[in-house]
Amino acid sequence: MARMRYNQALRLALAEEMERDPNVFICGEDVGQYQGTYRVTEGLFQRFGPRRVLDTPISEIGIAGLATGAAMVGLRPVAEFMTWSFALEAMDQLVNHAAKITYMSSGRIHCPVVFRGPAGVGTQLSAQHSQSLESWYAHTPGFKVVVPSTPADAKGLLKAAIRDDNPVIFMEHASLYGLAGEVPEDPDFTIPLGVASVVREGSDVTLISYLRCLHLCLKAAEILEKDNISCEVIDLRTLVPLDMDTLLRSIKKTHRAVVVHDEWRNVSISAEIAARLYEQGYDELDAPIERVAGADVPMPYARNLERAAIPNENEIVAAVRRTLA
Amino acid sequence: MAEVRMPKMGDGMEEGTIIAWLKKEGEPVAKGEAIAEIETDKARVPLESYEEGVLTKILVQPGETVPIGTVVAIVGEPAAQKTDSQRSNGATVTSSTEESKNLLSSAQTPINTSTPLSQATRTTSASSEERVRASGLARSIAKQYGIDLHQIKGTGPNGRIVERDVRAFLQTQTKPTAPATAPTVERAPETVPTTVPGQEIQPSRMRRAIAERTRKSKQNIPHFYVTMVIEMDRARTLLQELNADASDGNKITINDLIVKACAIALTRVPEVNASWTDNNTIVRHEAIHIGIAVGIEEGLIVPVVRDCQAKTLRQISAEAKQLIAKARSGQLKPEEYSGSTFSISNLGMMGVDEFTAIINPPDAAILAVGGIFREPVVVGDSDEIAIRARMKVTLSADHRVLDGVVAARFLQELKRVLEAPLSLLS
Repeated sequence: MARMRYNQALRLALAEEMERDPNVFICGEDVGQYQGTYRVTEGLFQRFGPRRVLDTPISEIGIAGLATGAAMVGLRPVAEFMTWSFALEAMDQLVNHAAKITYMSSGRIHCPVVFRGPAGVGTQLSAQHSQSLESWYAHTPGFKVVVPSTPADAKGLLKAAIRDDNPVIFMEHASLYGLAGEVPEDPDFTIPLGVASVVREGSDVTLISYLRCLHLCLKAAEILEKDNISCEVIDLRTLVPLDMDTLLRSIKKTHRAVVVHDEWRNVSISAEIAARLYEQGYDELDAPIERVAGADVPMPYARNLERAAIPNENEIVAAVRRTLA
Repeated sequence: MAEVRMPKMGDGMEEGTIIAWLKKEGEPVAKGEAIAEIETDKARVPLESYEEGVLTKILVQPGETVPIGTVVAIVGEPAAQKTDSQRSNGATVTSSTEESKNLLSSAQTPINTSTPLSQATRTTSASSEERVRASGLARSIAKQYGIDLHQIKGTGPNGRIVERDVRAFLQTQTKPTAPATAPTVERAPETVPTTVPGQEIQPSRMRRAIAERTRKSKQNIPHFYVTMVIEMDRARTLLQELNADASDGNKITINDLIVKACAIALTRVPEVNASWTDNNTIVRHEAIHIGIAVGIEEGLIVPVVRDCQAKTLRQISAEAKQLIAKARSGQLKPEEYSGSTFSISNLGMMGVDEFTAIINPPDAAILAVGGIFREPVVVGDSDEIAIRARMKVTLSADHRVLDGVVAARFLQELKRVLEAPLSLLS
């Protein structure tokens, strides 16, 4: 075990996988000589050279196309989008190609590519640079969608994603890069995709979340503990495939659920999770499922409005209380 | 309109239990379709409707045991509702036509384009006004225990029945059988340590019902007891004369005299013909319906002679005979063993001196009658001894409704009537 930051954990994962498998390479904007915009790839260019750490032109569609093509012929690219907001430029390559190649080739051509980068709100990055959009990729059959919330999970899940033969959408969060935590140093440490984690046990209500909002849920749980309300907090870790078993097991215990994420509320992951919980866990629910999510607005630039447009722990606390009414 | 009765499914079957209703009130029923699951001593079988129509009224709730022949449901035309006094009252039907605005209650900004469910026209059956609001969990627990949700008051948002409401209701009710499947909601079972080995018997449904009723009665009603001795010589003489040329099946009994005497005493002391209500009020009943405790093989049942204030001794006697016969053959209908305002229990034929009975709610009192024994008593002002036929009666009374003085006055009137028994012939 070593203590390191989220971005260092990602870096370690990349280095270990590149060491282990010569087919793994990195491509993206400023990932090499510039050492990475968020320093995730810092030092890797020096260590592995320009054939393994590729600086690309500013063209997300080019990055996605390059990575998809490389994966189709047997390499294992890890393509970086500087932010997931920029990946909108690459949508056709992602959705129509990376996600569908395996199906359209009747399983003959695989696409073991990882697309990674930060998503979500930063500080006053405004409407076009603050979106999450994980539900767009979760909605598309063919992708796995991974959302690590802690340094250890970032390392374990990235390694698992690189080793996975499916195209993986790997969404980090800018505000988490500096988060420190204990990380296993074993180069074979991976976390399986599709398995959620109960990060806090409780009995009165289940809080379901990921990325930045997971940490808000833990804060809310502390607040509610003072009122003798016991929250179970589940970190989803993977959105596709969704670990319904863990969620249902929790619901059987608590009978109440609150889903929290930064993404826009309308037609979001929480809507899908709620629908599945109602479908599969109806008889265990004692209250309607609450959703605390981003406001359905383009992200405002003004700091106060930006703060009002995303979840905070008080909203989560209020939602929990509503389930107990 | 057809009455669906508890069927006799086997030679030895005298009663059956409704396990669950497979149809709800207002649902259509096809001929031969199973509308309920019933349990006899031997098996669990479906109860089929012989008529086509709509299940208009369910008269017996899941978990209830009734004698065979009891009408358990009515299948008829959709709009017709049979009104009858039901044993299980307290049906709080949450008949709300307003849909709850349960969308988007989070503290988000109002740009969300969501509309609350309007009072849309529902294309459901005629049972829409009887729909109960309950969470999925509450429904599944209620289903496990065979509870009709209409009996439960909801304390959740918009009056929704939630888990805690069902649990609270379970505390106050009979649990006739364990849930059919292992409950998904785990609760630690209570284990009663038995130190003395013995044979464990599963009580019959009637026994369980008696256990629950008497426990509730004793637990909730502050009982007090007043005993009085009544000299029955003149009553016995009257009885002999009345029965002189009566055939065997038409003889008036001591118990008939006591029922009529109680009816008269209740008209003279109406405070005893009352009940304490759940609203903490006292209701004085106008009619006098007297329950007669009948011991049968499985236990005890209390058929009711209605409107005793308007019946002659002969009428009461005839009716009591009928009811007792029905009780013994398990043919009493629910309306025949409910709705009493006063009850009588007689163990005199067993040689009992005196005893105290447990009040049969919602009555305010019950009279326990002992045997008639010829005993030496002091008569008159001189110390003369004479032999008299003495009978002890003990009134158990609900102290919320009456005090000792009222109880004593009632017994005085009863004594007066039985010791000058010609008034029984009025």
